Amino acid sequence: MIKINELEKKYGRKKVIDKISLEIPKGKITSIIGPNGAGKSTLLGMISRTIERNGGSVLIDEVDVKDWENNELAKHLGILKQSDSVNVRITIEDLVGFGRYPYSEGRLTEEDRKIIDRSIGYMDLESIRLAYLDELSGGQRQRAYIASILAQDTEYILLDEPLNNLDMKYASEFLKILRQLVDDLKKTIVIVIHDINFAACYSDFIVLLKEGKLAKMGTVREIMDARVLEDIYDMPFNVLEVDGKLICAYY
Amino acid sequence: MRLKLSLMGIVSLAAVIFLLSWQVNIEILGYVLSKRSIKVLAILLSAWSIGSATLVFQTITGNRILSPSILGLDSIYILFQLLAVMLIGRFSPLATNPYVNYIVTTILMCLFSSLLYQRVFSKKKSIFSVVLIGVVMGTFFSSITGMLQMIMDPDAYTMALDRLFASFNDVEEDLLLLSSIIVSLVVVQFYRNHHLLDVIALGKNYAVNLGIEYDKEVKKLLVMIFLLISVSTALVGPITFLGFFAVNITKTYLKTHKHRILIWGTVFMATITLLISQILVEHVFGFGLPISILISIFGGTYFIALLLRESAA
Repeated sequence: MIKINELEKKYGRKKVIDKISLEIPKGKITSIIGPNGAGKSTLLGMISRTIERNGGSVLIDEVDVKDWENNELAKHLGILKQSDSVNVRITIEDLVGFGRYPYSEGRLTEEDRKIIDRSIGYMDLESIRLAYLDELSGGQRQRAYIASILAQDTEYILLDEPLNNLDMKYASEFLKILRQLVDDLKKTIVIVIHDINFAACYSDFIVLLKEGKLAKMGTVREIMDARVLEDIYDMPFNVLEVDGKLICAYY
Repeated sequence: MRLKLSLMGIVSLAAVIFLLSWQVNIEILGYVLSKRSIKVLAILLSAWSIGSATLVFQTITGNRILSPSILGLDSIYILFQLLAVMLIGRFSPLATNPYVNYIVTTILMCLFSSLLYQRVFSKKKSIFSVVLIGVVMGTFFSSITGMLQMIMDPDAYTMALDRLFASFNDVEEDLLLLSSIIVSLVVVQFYRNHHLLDVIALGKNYAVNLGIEYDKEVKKLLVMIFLLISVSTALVGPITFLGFFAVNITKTYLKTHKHRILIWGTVFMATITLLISQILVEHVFGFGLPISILISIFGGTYFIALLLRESAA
């Protein structure tokens, strides 16, 4: 379980994250949504120790991220950030291979290779595994990055806007894969996402942020309520039920 | 890949043999060889230190056109040489005794760089702040140098000038030995960390995600870079563009991201560049041209070509 307590982040005097406390349950998909500038990526960054915090605590399996052995944490928690782009010329296979670094420190074992193959297969990259990243389309590259996170084989997977660059087909396939990872492999996934309908269809819990504060956290049904959403986004919403899923119309 | 690497090794070896044996007078073979081998050793040493330091520096900064000279170490060296002649006198041991000069300059450069990085790192600034501060400091020191050159006694200036250009023709044997030990230890350390360097090249977020203590490792690597550059600059003088040239040619030629291969490739390439330049200086220009100028011409041209190509792409 990820337990966040009174977490704070300031840039200068501006509070980007203002005393957020929440618990992210194990074995579920939790989506973080909110308007631009709500602090979604910052929150994810602080959970994953890639952004320094100014106060509060983040406990992962009861241990503060600061007290984790770095290498050990890398086997439990993987993060993919929206801004990550690699400017080294490497192939998909190399990139995915790097995901095994916490385990083998670069000397790949038979076991590592199996996991790399599996991750590449999962993201449907088999046919282009030897292509260089700079030769790929945005969507292929995004899938390659995600394959490397899968190869890292962590219990917690944090994804910062992973649907960027994915078209509808790959976006929904990708979320189905996340669903599988959670349902079959008992992973815990936290995802920052813009598309509220994707969040509603595929996640278990939704965290709503606004201006650095926790507006509401709850199950999809609790959050997908026109009144709640109108309050956060300052615009009219219409929530419909289609095939048992809640969909929001906001055009 | 292995083939290309061995090819580079063979070419460097051939150049070494050429420099050692070309037009050798058999009667005084022992004397000539000992003189020449010191020179060759000094060349190898600079190539190793500048080549590997630049490679690692580019890996840390994730930038293909930077080289550690941007941190201002060279300009400190030049400023110090001028000051030594000017303030303490051109007949003082600091100016005339190479041992004293070497030790004091090395210590000074290491001291300055650790001060620089310590101040910067203690405030948790990014590597780019380090680079930026280095650039500003470098410009600052060169401006002072420029001013000193204007006002100093021309005789004294001529004397200092000798040290401002890299030269492999007058290197002290004992210093060479000491420097070789330091340089080979550091380069081997780089090599042992080649997997780590591969990951650091991916950028900070990746490295942290993969469990690397990024700040600590980068700090360690920077200290090693400072050490390499200080040692080689104090021994033979500044050679701008060599590292940049060697690293980029190697990356283009070997087409790999693996530091296990890149380290040796760069070291070989720097060796080849230096050796060939030295051969040109000796046998074509008849010692009329300082080697660092020759390399700046090569490297500078390549630098501009690379910039143009990048901006066109």
